[in-house]
Amino acid sequence: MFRLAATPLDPSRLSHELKNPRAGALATFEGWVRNHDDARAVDGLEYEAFESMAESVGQDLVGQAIERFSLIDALVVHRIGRTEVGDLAIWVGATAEHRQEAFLACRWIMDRIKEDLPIWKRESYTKGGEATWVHAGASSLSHSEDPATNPYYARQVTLDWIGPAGQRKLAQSRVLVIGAGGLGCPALQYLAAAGVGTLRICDGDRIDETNLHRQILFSAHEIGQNKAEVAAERIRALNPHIAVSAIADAATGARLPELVTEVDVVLDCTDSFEAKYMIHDACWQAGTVLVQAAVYQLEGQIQVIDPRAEAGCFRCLWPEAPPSGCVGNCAEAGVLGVTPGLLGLYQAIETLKLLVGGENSLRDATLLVDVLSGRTQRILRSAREDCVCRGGTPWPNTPDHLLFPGRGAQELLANATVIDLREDHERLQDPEWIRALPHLPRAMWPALLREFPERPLVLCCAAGLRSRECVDLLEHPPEVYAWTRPIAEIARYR
Amino acid sequence: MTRVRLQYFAALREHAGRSEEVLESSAATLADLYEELRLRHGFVLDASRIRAAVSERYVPLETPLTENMQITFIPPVAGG
Ligand SMILES: [Zn+2]
Repeated sequence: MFRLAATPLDPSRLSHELKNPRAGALATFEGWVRNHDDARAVDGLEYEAFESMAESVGQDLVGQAIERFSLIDALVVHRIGRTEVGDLAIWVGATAEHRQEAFLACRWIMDRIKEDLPIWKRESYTKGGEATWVHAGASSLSHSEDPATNPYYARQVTLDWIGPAGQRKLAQSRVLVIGAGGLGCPALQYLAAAGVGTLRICDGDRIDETNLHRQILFSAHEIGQNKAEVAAERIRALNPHIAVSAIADAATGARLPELVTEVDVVLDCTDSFEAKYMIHDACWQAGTVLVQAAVYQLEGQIQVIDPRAEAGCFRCLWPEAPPSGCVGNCAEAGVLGVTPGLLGLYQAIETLKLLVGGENSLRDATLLVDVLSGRTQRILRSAREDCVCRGGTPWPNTPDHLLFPGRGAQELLANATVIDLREDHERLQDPEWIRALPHLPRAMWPALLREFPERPLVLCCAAGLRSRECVDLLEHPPEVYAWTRPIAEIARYR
Repeated sequence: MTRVRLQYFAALREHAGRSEEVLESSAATLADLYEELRLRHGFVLDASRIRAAVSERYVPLETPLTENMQITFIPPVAGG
């Protein structure tokens, strides 16, 4: 439920309103009136709302959040009228059966409220000066001009399919592109040029000479630089009317659930099964639509996984990742640059369809594309009743079940020897407890079982890919486990 | 014997050395047919790791073979 309040808020009474015996978690957020805005001292704020509209927009957002995150309930109360420094301006509470949904929902609601709610604020400054009304979410909005009349988009606004309304929808959309490689580069270019208002680019890799033939945002003189950062710079130059940010991190880290919650659509442009499953599971659980593509030499496939569609999830079709090494990636099997290029473009158009609202989306199908013959084949997908997405069994990737089928991480880590598989230079910035762990750089992996005869062993690395690789290399010795999350996350269980 | 028209995708196409073929088989199901082809073409993946589509729809590998069936075999793909 959503309401406006003209008098001070009492968090404990608000929490009490959400009490429910079915709830296992309550996540709350408090927005406070602070004493400065940029460099100006502020001694208070006055909020004014277009009340009936604010209430209906707020109610709608809360309803969406309840559905999207399977919440038990949610309550949002926004102050109106005069507030002092330190006062509560907004209180958000979300209850769910489990903590994850409650956390995600709380953040999602807050982000949406800031942008969508018709509430204005007027700051009064300690040193006087003109006080003007600004939209309460003004600091997060950078679009000052109407995209529908911006000449940049003139040729596309003319299309019936887009029109002024579609262009504005694009400007309000947020898209996360994970992997700025062969798929990500072309997808980013066209999404930016089409006017997607907020683009986030996530990639922890550095540009390598062997990438350049297909990762067309990068130049030869940029070898060694982070892909997300270089891509963001290019994209900003291409379209200065949108907000572009780079996350120079492997997407598979601890921030993934948060990152996918903050956007409308995620593009999976990665090149490993490990990443694909993690991204998929995070998106499905966050209720975010995923546009997923993959290529092999001169062929590719693309599909849209929409938690609100009837066609089920990725695991309905492919319940588990195949054993690594049996299916080649680009490095092993080779690839023509055009192949990911074409599939990345398909990802861009599918994303635009999702954002603007188009027919013939791949929400219920996989498109197979053969670059050489020019043939495409659309294959209908359907949900599998005994899949994890239908409930019943826990998701394989939820942290407690991550790698230790049938065993809790807590129980295992209580008496396991943890080994760090990263190289020496990666350990320099780590906290003391991580540096104290025994470690074995890649060159020594074949000697692992001899060097560490104790059991159980838990292998760790930066993001979880190498640990899996090492276990594979040693052919899954008994009682040796791969930790497929960032090494620092072990702290939660020890 | 049942006559079927086959299409291969990605690594399966690579190992088969062709993207399509027509053949006659005594296999009862798609899984049996795939096993036959696996021996013939040296596919690495076993039947549990691939998917099949018939008439533009994913179908279970237990689906029985029928005359003139149009079958696509699809392995998992992850490149980017
Ligand atoms: Zn499923």
